[in-house]
Amino acid sequence: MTSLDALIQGFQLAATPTNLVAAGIGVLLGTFAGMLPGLGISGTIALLIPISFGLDPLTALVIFGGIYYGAAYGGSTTSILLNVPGEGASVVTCVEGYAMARRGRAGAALSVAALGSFFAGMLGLVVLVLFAPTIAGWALAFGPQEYFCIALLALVVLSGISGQSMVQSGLMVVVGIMLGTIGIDPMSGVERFTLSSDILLDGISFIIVVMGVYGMAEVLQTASDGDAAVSAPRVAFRDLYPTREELSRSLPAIGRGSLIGLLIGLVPGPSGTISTFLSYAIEKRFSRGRDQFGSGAIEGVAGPESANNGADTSTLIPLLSLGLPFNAGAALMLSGFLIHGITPGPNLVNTRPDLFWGLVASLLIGNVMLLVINLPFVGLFASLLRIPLGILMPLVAIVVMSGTYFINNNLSDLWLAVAFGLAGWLLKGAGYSVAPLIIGLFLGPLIEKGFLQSMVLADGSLLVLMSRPFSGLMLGTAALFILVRIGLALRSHFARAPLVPVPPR
Amino acid sequence: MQKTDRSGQSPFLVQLVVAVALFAGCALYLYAALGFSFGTWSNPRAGFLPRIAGCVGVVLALGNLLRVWRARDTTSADLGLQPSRALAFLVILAGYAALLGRLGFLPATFGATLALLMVSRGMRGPAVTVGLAAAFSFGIWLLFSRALDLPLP
Amino acid sequence: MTNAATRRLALAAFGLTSVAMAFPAFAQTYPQRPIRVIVPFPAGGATDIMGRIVTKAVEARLGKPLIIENKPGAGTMTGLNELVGARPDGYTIGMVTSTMVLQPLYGGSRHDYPTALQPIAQITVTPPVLVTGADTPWKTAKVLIDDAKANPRKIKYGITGFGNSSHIGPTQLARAAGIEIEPVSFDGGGTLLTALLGGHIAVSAGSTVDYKPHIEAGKLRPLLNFGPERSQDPLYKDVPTAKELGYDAEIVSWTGVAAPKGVPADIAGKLNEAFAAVMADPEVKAAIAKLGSEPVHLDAAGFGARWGSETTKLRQVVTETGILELVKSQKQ
Repeated sequence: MTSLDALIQGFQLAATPTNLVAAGIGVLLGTFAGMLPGLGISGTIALLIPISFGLDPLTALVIFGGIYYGAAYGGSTTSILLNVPGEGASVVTCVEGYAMARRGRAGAALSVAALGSFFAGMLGLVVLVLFAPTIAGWALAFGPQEYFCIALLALVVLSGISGQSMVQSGLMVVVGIMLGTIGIDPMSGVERFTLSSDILLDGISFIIVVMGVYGMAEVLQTASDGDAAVSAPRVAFRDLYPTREELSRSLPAIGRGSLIGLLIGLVPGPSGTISTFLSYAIEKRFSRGRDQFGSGAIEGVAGPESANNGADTSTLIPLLSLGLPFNAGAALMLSGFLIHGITPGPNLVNTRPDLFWGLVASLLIGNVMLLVINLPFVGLFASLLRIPLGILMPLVAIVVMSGTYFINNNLSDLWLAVAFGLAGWLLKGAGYSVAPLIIGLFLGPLIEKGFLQSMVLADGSLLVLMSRPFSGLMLGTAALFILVRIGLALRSHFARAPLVPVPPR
Repeated sequence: MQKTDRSGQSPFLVQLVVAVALFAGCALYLYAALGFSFGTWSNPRAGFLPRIAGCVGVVLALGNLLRVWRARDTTSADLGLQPSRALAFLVILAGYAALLGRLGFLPATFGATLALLMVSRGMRGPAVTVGLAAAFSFGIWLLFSRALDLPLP
Repeated sequence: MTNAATRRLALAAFGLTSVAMAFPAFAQTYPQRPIRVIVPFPAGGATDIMGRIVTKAVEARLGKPLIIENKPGAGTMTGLNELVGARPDGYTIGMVTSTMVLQPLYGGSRHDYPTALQPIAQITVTPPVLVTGADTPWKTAKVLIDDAKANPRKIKYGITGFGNSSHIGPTQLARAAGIEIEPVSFDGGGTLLTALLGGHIAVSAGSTVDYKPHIEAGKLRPLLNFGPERSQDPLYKDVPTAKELGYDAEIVSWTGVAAPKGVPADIAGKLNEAFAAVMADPEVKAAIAKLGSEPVHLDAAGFGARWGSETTKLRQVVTETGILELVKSQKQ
């Protein structure tokens, strides 16, 4: 009960007019920053850190909290409307969300994304208030060995996500892994595959590839379709919001997505991205609308968006209770704290209860604001699609290019965005799905790091690795998964073989 | 995505070119990966993952090439009706990347937006096109430099 | 005719005087426009925060804004390369750290930074400290070393990159004490700290800035200081140095400001002066100390001498400890 009392006190602090306005500003800034491809959470908080020097610590934290939430949500907007993912975690939202937008259901997709984010955020905060110290302890119990096994399992499960042939998706995964090894290897300090070019020295930024092969490729595709490209059908205002059926299909997906996000958020690394992919894979297999995947299934938006926000919220648990940032967004939150002389960690609740509970309360308030501010905007955003594609796409191209610049303030990154746009356009044109490439690109480095670390820690023995209960389970599941897939592939091959003669040359 | 009327291009050729490029890329990667030490399974070094990825990649790319060659499936390839427009887009965007640092944000953005709009809308309503490009480039310049205070090139 | 001639003469005279005026004026009125400060770390990191503290104070002194540009990546090399390539006119300076001396030793960098850059001022010195989790059996460095002696290769320590100070310190210690301990690479201080707090690695040598909050919270225990002498910080003042315990291991990390080589002497002098004055300001010192680092100013000459002497010393250290060979062995 003490935490409830403390929370009420926190509300009193967070509900002052200044802090309410701050939360509103944070949420709005975050939403817009999330929408600008490339800027994202890290970029926005980084911009605001110098400005926040002059603010009261709690007010500054409240703004950062709002940005943190708003950006996670804002990323979905451009994905759904324009097929431009602003961050790794909105890649899968593109797939079903954009398909929905092409069918005229953009409004429904945006609303469900907002609702899912809200629900996942609230659930995460409740867990944070009630169980933070316990859960933080679990997060520490996972070591490099466990991360390695999780990443490996995720690679095995996710590489089948695209529904193309095993050779194609396997090749795309491997190409992604190859791209991931470019640059200075953080483990050994060796420069790899950079062709002695400064552009590639720091490796290829995940987000540039994502923006290139999705956003830029989409622009090129539309350009070459020319007048044949069809705009989204116009819809009446009342049809903007989800129907009862869409809502009832989304709810279970939101629930599953939130849980996945909450759990994955406790793993250091790009948990937002991993959790959205996992949620997508699960929805595709188990949800009611699994037959519609590829043509705009609402579960494919609701699940991953909830997972993303769930992961972002549970990443706050190790941040607030241990002082450990598990991803880039949390790292910037941490420096926002440090600048104001506050050190998050086990002592925060005791030494500065006002800040801790004030922040938690303001996150709850910010979450509500996010929903209240964004739902009315849905109509406005959806009407963006009424702009003829011939005008919209050039503008999108320029926004993607400038967004690419802001990632690292680096002009040479623009070349990469153009190159990946070309590659994505050609690959899609030749019938490849690029989702496995993205998966390989972000899981490859995690797997390499994890394996190198695990081998030192386990004295070079795979047996030691398998004897740890959790990693053993993960590795076993991964092996089972591979066997089942090979089995299925062989069965369908033999069943079909007599029917398909070798085509004559 | 699947349209039937294809004139003036060969989808099979596109597929073949992409498959050959993937194979060449994987082979080059493997060649470069051999420059790094593999280490051992229990003590992996910088060349560990690259070599595995390179070998698997070459095998898969070869399999993929065979698949494309045997299937001669022309329905799943689609670069759209006017790939030349996409190429024009690419050229303009590459020009934008090259000139952004030299011309400054506002002029380069205006030029690129104008060129892109002209490609995608054709020549109808030149005044409208110029107006759109000017409004848009000025608008995002205001947003980036004034509202968000981002460092511009 | 005469009219034109007079005009030409007048123009020439005007031109001459303006040139004549411009030259001394240039030095007197430097800076005339904002100065770019390249920080080779992401915004919000320890170096970035230090940079912001110092540049803010310098700004007040020089009267023109100093604008921080974060160019992170490739273990500070992205930012350093950009700094090397900038025009040496005093309008581009950058933050540098001790890795600029180490990277060229391994042959992995584009430039030999100590000769391609020009020192302006050293700002802080941070000796790495060896820490362990609060509930491990290693109460002192001595216990740890004895344990490592009895069980070779059992103790694993975390490093944030092959061949940087977190790797060199413990390797020197291991060599001096005759023990075998194994490094585990992490790609950043955050993930390393997580593994350390979770007990997945035994010890790690890192920056006092990063460990400070966790030591204060009682989650980590400092065992050993790799600096030349004990730290002034009350939190670390009881931690013995490796030298005190009789092991020849010493390494420090420092942060400073540098410019591309070839800045005119008068402008360099102005910058040198401004940073010296700022580093004497107790308020700036206190802000840096609060982060957990020690504000130790060196002027341009002293900082440059440090680059030279550390290059020589560290080349010997990385060769003797076998780290150089280890880095080279990654290639074939």
